Amino acid sequence: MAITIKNIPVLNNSSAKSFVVMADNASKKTVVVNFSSQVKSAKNILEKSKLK
Amino acid sequence: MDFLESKCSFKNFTEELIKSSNSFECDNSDLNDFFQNDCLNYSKDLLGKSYCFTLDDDDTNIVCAFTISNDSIKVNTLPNNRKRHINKSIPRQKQFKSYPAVLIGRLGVNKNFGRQGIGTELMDFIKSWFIDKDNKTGCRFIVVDSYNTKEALNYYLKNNFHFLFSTELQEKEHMGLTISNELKTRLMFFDLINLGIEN
Repeated sequence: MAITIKNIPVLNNSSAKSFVVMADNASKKTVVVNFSSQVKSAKNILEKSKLK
Repeated sequence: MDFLESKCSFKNFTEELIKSSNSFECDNSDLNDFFQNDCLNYSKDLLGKSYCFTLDDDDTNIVCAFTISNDSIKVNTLPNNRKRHINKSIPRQKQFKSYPAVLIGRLGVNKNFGRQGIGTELMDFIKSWFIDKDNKTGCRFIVVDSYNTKEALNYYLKNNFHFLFSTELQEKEHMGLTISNELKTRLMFFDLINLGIEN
């Protein structure tokens, strides 16, 4: 049997703190990677597949 | 995403598809075992859903496949001593912050299609799928429990994933493993908020 897919564990202490800081900073950030062309390609793939 | 968009079709990874396809072989025995024996059970139990891309010229060829499920990254930011003191008076749901996430249970590329950038195309597709405005639920992070091998970790790092625990030791402690125990997988995440779509 293959390795079981494990759930994401609850983060505590320093790992929790650094994760929250990272997430908060990323939320405030205005510069992002433009992913428009990839999203357009993904839409084309989904339309062709008829899976939504 | 040129190859997947122009030469492949996206499909549910079903029992019928497996029966009608050539064997899906990746360069990893655990991945092969999972896609051949386990993934349908995850689907049946609603614990993970698997998808694949097949080649348009010969749809018995599965180019790549992945399994995903809903999960979340939960953080408990109260230190232990303060936690003991405060936990009694704060409702459980208020002690935790939870970020919605999609968990990649498995992701593999057919060994006959390796070294062509298909893995990165596939990851771009998954990222795009979850930031698309038509996505039905909010999803902030993609998380993966990567094989702890140089090749697998480099793949996720190249695709801008970060380690959930900064060191192996920290991850081992969190998982209740001793220093001498082997850490077979490493948890990694990608923050979807870093991706933007122009209107």
